[in-house]
Amino acid sequence: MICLTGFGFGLSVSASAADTAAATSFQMSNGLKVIVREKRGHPVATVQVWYRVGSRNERVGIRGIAHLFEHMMFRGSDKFGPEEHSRLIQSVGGYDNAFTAEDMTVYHQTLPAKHLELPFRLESDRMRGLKLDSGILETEREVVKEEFRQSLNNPFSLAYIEFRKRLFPGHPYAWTPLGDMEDLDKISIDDCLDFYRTHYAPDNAVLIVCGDVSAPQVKTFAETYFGPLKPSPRTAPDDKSSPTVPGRLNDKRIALKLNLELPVVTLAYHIPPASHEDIPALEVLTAILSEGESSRLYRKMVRESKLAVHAMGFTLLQKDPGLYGVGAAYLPNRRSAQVESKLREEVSRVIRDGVTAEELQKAVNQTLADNIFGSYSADHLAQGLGESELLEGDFHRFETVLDRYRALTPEGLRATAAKYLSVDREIVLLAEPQKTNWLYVVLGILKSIGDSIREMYVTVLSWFR
Amino acid sequence: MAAVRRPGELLNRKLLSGLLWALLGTNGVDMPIASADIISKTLPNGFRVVVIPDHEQPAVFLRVLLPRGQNDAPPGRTGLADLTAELTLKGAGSRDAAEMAELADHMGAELIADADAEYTVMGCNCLADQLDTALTILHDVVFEPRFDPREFSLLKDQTLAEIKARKSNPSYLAAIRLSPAVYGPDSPQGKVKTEETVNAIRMEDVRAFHQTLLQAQGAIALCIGDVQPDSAAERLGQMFGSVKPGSPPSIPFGIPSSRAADQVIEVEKEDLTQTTVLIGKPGPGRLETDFYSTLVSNYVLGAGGFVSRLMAAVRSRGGKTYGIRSGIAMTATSDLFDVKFTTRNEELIPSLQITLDVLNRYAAEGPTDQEVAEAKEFYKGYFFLQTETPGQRAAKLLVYLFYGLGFDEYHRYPDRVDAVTRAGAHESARRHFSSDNLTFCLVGPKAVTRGAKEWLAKSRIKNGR
Repeated sequence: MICLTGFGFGLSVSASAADTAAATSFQMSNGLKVIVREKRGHPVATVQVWYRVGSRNERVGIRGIAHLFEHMMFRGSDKFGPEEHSRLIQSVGGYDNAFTAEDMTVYHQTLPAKHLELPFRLESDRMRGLKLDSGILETEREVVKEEFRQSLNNPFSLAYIEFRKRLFPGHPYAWTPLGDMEDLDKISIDDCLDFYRTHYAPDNAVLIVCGDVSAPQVKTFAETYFGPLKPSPRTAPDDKSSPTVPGRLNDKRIALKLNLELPVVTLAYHIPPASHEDIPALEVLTAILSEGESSRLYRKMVRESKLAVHAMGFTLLQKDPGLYGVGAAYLPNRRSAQVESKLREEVSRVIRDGVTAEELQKAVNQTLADNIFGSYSADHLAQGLGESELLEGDFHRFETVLDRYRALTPEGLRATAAKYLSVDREIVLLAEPQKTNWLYVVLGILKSIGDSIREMYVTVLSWFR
Repeated sequence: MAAVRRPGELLNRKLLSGLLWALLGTNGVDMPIASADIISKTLPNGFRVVVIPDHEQPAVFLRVLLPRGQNDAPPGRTGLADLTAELTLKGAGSRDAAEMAELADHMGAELIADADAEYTVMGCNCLADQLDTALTILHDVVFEPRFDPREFSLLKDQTLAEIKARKSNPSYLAAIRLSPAVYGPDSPQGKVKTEETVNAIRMEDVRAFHQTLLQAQGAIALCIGDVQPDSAAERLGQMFGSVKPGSPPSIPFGIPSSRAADQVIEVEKEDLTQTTVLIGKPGPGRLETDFYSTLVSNYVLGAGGFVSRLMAAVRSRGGKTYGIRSGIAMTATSDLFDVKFTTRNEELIPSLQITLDVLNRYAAEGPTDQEVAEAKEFYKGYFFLQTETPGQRAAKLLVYLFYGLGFDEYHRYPDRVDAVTRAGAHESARRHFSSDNLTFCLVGPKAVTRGAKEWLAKSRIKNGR
């Protein structure tokens, strides 16, 4: 049943219609955690293995090894040859892939559900039986460096790499999973073996299975294929060995001149780890500020003032402290100072005046709809469960996010904004074109003057109303 | 919003896989729906109405395909179809752009307006209990867009900004040069949206194009989701029964008769450490009789990801690129067969050499029986993945119906894939994938691309091309 009452409406989906299935989990004796989410309706299954290792577990000297290792995982084991994993998955109409992030490395495959056993066979084999030799290392090292160069040749990726370096000094988050070109050249086969033995083990992984599957069937396959694997004999990755707080920033304003034509300015703020109790409020603030064309930033920055062509926001969640950001892309005939000032004004307005109950309700509504649209996809469900498990420490949080959002209040949101998004915590990130087009500079100044005159005119008019 | 959206996690072993799967994603697949569930009728004016009940979630996916697209824009106005489609969402009926955005965001609805080469699709994803509101919005978007001059101006700025942002991407620079070179800049396949063509578009062009869009012959209204089918079909029939019949769309467009081949286009980007290579020549269209043979054959050559011949030769054995793929058009109108990769500058000529060797050998020898069998199994199984969500099903159905392939294309898809023979796949390779008549586009430092151009001239003359 849906109730629409003007713009303050809340949505409620009748329980009989909504998919109310919940994920379940069990722990195997070797430490492997298995999460299962049954989803009937379409004969598709997703099997994902999430390792609790990413670039966060690297150190200077081996930066990039987690990602390099992800590549090595496709180069065969004692039982399967190079690229055999992908070939077998594709031969039944599935696809496989992997990604490395700061806090995790994930291997995933989606395939017709009747072939569910195949990924269990393949993933369990490479978890402990990977074949590593220097020939494979040399080939993959070159491929990874090619990928790195591709990012360096893209100004937006380059900006991300450079901003991270400055935003998280003294912490492994200062580099991306791409690592460092010099370190990549130095990584040896022994480094790889050491990395593999330490991090690739059932007690450092989470197996997630979603789709047209049954929990008992998953349990049988898990025990058959992963059950015989031994836990890591090495010291398990120790969270305490990783710094949890980034070092002190040298500069609160980071400006880059890059080979791009569309400048972007972002106001960034450090925020607590993903599991922190203030994160739901920050996520909702992101929605209110930047989700959709009715968001505050789009309305003020794009539609009304026309200072920007795009407005955006993000809550970068990490195991250790993350980053909150609001930003705008603007045509070069606008002045960056004016765009930046307008962004700041909107953030300050949240702190000063708070948000409305309607805005909060809209964020809840959007989340409800997103959850329903997303639940058609087994891959989407597995991804959400994995992120919640590895970043927040509990996969149930993926399914209960609406409860946390519904418990928020406008006053609570204002207080959270005041706590984290104040001007003294702000870091300005600016990516601008290398080449200055003076025509654009002049047009920008004229636009600023025009805006000032218009504002004065509106103010004067208001005196006489 | 509930799911953790992390801008930093895109580091993916197979970034090109996005491209690969997008490519594969355009292929046809069967859909496990019972014909008895489908309501399909053609209104007296020619408008087709299709309703497919799906009660997996309390959601509805509405789509309207209008039978004109980017290819129908007048000369010098490329981008008109996209602008027209997007502008329909910026205010329609009694709501201006801000009010429409506010309503959609409050509902958690997703509004869609996309122009493809041969058609335009408008639509709305909504929760089932909001079907009434969604139908009202869709009606307004299709029939009563406001075409507000302020929104038009903003949308043009956003389009220009998007073009500026893309110009930082070497792949984009290659793509916008290759098609016009192969087909001629005024042909449907060779037209490119540029700052110049977007600036040339006027509001009267948009209004005229919208009238062109509103023709019933070839148009389709499709509804998939948690609906009562008879009622939904009746409402769609009432909504679209008054559209003027118009004339049937003219697809496929013909291939220009005079085309230049064996060109080498250099795009100078001095600061790049890699060169991006895009190679192409006229390829087949979706409606050609050997489509399935070509599909299977292209999988073996370069669309099969890590199991493809190009990937094995250029990446897995040589480590010369992060990824390489080949692609064919999925439009009724024939378009490019192309091969794309990026390689470090010093490996450009060796990579080109390997790529051309693979093409020549493949055209001469064709695929093996095992390669054909694996490709066929892939496509037969992959249809389950490609039709997992109602949105995916809607996209495929619309295209099949629009191209006149009918529901039969769904139900006979596995048979059609199965009917491909090794001889047929070899013939497709010989016809479409040989290295004859290729045009090369190289984006990189001038000295590097010039060296490759000279090498290509020599090697291809030596080889009699």
